[in-house]
Amino acid sequence: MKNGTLMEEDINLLDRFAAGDREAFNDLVRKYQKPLYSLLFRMVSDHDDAADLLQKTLVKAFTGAGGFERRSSFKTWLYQIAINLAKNLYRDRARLAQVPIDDVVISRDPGTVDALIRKQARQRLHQAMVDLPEKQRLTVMLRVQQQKSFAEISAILGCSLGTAKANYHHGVRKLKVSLADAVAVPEKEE
Amino acid sequence: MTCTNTHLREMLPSFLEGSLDAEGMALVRGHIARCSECSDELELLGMMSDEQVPDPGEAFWAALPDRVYRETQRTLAEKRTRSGWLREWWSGMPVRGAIAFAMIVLVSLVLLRPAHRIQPETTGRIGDTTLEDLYDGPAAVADLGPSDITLLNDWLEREITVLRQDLGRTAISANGFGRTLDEDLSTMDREELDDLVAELSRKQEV
Ligand SMILES: [Zn+2]
Repeated sequence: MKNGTLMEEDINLLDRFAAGDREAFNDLVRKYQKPLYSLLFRMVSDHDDAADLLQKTLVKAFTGAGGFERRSSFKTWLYQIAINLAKNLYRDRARLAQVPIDDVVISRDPGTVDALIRKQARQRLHQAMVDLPEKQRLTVMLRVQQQKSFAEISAILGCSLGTAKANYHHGVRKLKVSLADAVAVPEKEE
Repeated sequence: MTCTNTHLREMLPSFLEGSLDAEGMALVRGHIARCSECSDELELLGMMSDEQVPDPGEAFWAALPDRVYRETQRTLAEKRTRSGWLREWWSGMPVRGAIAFAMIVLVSLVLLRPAHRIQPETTGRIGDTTLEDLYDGPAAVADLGPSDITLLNDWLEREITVLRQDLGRTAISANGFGRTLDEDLSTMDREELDDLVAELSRKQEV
């Protein structure tokens, strides 16, 4: 399986790093820095926080804090560390309620009424994501925005495949409802 | 009408990524053409995956491996010198241990007054005083009053200080590398730390 070789590749790089190969270290960082950053940014909605957490995640992984077991994938482990660090941060600050939405949404739409409506819908969607229960939000985020399979999600979040799928369906259903509600209101006013 | 095809819904994110095989892609395409619910869901997922994360820029990415490397090395070095048991041993043994002992003695004095009798240690002088300097002969704990307890407490504290100073002065110099216990342990290399531990163990036995 593709996954198997990917895992072996990481283990190989880790071994080379342990033997003092600096380039192997750089390869591993370069390989995961962008996907991890985008996950972290989506979780904390702030560049400085995301950058800080990204560094902490990688350092934690490379110093072996928490004990990486080579039976599992390094990638999964990185995601677990990142998610835990981000959870701690936003629990500490309880700040998610005030997300600067405009920083997140980069509109590619032309300046039409339709575009405005789309932009509003995006903002509602973003808010609806924020309002989801944590497990559902993380599951939907990982599946749709990070392109993780359900199997990977169950490994990262430490739940069964069935639970991962259930969380996904519940989350998506709630998003649909909140978006439908949001769209329904202005339509009635017209 | 509610679509109950959960399996197909679970395929939607992969459809969006274009990661399904040809058969899967065709299956989903066929379904969303008929099922408005799933096509709505696909639109929602599309909106979500479109949500961009700002790119911190090439300079950020280029500098990151070095930054992480430095921090990793620093953390590893810190870990090595701190290697749990040593710090535990050092800070724990003379100071915390003695304080814990003092606490236990005091609590015993207060709580178990009638039942307990402590025979104070009168041999093996470690500091300048022994309990015998305070009392003639073995003291019966049950007979101690509040002022005696204060006195005992002071004595313990004094003894701990003496013990610490004594260890700091002589423990290491015997081995000839000129380190003292007051120094920062993180500046010592592994060999020095091993020597330190050996000296302290020897001292402890004496
Ligand atoms: Zn359907």
